[in-house]
Amino acid sequence: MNEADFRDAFHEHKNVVFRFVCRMTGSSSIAEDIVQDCFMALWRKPMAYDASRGKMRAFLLGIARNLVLKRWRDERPPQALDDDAFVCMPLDVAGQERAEAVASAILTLPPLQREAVVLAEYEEMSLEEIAQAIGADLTAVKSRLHRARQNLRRMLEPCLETKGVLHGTK
Amino acid sequence: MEPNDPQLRELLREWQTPEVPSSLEERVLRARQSWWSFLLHGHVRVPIPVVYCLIALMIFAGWRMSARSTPSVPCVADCNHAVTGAC
Repeated sequence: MNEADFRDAFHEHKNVVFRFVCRMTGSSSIAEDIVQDCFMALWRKPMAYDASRGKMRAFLLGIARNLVLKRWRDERPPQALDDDAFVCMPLDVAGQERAEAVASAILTLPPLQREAVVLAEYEEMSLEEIAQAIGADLTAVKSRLHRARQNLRRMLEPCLETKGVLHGTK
Repeated sequence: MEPNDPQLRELLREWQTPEVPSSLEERVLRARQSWWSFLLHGHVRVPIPVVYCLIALMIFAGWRMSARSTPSVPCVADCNHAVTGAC
């Protein structure tokens, strides 16, 4: 990969990687660090990308995803990344903007559910693309998406009927 | 979220992320430096235990150097080191 190719790849994919990491971590400063590490990985080992196996976008999102999960594991005591039994309770969204409530809900999801829903909903990736990016099979992706949707519906129930700032009793 | 759940989809779309900072490009391109540039301007992360080992190694090396350079007690004239060449 020469410099021009690298610049092209950066300009084409920086936004999607940044948005993905922002939504996975809830932090734009962490997203900046991870975007940098992600593109450095591409620059150092361009041969790791095999165009016949999928799009560059999925490849870069896969790297970013691994960096996010590594950071997540480093910062927390050992626990399951995707707990099947994990049930999110309805959020106390009183006084929150709807966007804040959505952010809280997505950041409450277990990481493997979160990545599936972020890629499907915000990046509009197909199930196959998601499976490729996260290195999982289609069944697992479908299952995680289903559980994520159920959890989001449960958490955001109060928002689904209202507009603007949410009012309620604390 | 599901194709038949436009309500949830619309709600999720209300969470927007910030724009990519313009400084990020410069940061990434600067980090992508050649090996000789790395030698001049680069930096590496060193784990704390490695730092401790290096410090201990330096103290030990310093102690050995100072022990060697300390003048020993001069030999007396009739010692046999002159024969063995130890003096």
